[in-house]
Amino acid sequence: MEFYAKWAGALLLAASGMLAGLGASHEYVRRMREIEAMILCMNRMRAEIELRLTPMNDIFRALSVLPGPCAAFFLDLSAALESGGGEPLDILWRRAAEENFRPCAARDILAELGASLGCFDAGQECGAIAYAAGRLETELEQARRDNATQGVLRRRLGAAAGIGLAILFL
Amino acid sequence: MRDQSLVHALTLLPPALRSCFREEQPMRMPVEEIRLRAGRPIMVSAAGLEREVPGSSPVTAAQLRQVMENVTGSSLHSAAESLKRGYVTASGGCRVGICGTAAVSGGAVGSIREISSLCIRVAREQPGIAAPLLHLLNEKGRILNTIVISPPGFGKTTLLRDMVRLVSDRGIRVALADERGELAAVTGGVPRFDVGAHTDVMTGAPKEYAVMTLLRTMTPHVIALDEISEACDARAVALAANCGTAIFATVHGYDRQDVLARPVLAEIRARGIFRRAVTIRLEDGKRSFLTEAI
Repeated sequence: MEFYAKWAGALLLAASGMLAGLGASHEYVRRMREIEAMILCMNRMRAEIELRLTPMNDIFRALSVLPGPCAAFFLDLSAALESGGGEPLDILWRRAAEENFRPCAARDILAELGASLGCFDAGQECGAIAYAAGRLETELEQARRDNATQGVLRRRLGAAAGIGLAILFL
Repeated sequence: MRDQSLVHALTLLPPALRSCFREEQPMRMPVEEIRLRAGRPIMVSAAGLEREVPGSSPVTAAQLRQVMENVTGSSLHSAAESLKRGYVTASGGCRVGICGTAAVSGGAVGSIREISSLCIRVAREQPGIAAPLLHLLNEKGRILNTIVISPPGFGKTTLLRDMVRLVSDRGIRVALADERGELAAVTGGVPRFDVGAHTDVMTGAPKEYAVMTLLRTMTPHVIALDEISEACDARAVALAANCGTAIFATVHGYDRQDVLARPVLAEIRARGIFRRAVTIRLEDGKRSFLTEAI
């Protein structure tokens, strides 16, 4: 009985280590997915403005129903615009970005874009969105590199720590 | 009870400007326009007379930009075409006239920048206003081509809207070429104003295109157009007349002699398209309608 309990404990320790590693690396995956979703939404926004001159709130509503990490951001924006509080889009956009994304360079790029939306013609707005999307692409490359190095490192460290503890336990 | 049309127009103002209207005393006449000029206090106009809103401080350029953002729903790109023509129509039918520095490119106005003043026209409907005229606008059961004439701000659009509603509610199919979105104020496909049960509305399209499309697709008995001012608008009227559809239209002017003498309306005059003219008069803040056969 004692033998089985010991092995079960060791397995639990090993599994905990692996899970801790996965949890630590998840942050890198989440960041990558978040930036990918931002770029996708930027491209969709640009297409709607360029091809159909769609009003902002219609775009926000359409993007808020897309599954992914940006849905809540656009839902908040749409709700704020519809509430008619009279605040500029720039402020609403920045506030929604700060409330829905964790502090990072990608969030800052997204927040900065708000200053170029709502008050320019389609060409200028598309230019600003394309510029922001370009910067986000650079961030995405960095996030992919980080995930490939740091993320894998954390997963391996977690697994190694778990197995090490299990061996010590045994 | 507060004037709901004015309340709706005030939602376009930033909170700091809107708050000035809390102290506003009820006016003898309903507010027709809110005028915002950079560096000047807010003015309202009623029955053609402007007066300052008590307690309002000078309007800033940033506040004018904010009004523009509210008017366009933070989507200036969607309103770029009408902006070139110096106006934007807000959701709800309030037309906002824009004055500023024109950005000219290739000989054409590309946009208006550095906005210096805005004129928000309070869109309102007055159901029944056209009822006393209706029997004069048809002959042996046939609707006559009618032109509504008055200087700006006398209520042409309001009268035309009610003419459309009354005719439409009698089962006559009406097509509305609502280029500026003021007549029906369609939001989400639904007219904010009552334009009648048998009315089809095309919003935003130039009148000539709208008339051609409506004639082909909606087979109207009556076509209504607001503000015939350019040659292309006059062509739209002639086009509808060619197809045997009755026309309701409005035009800026003092009276019918003044209007029909214009070169741009030469074809309309020569062909005798309009059979009735309704001239709106404003005396001592009271409107009256003069209906004449042409």
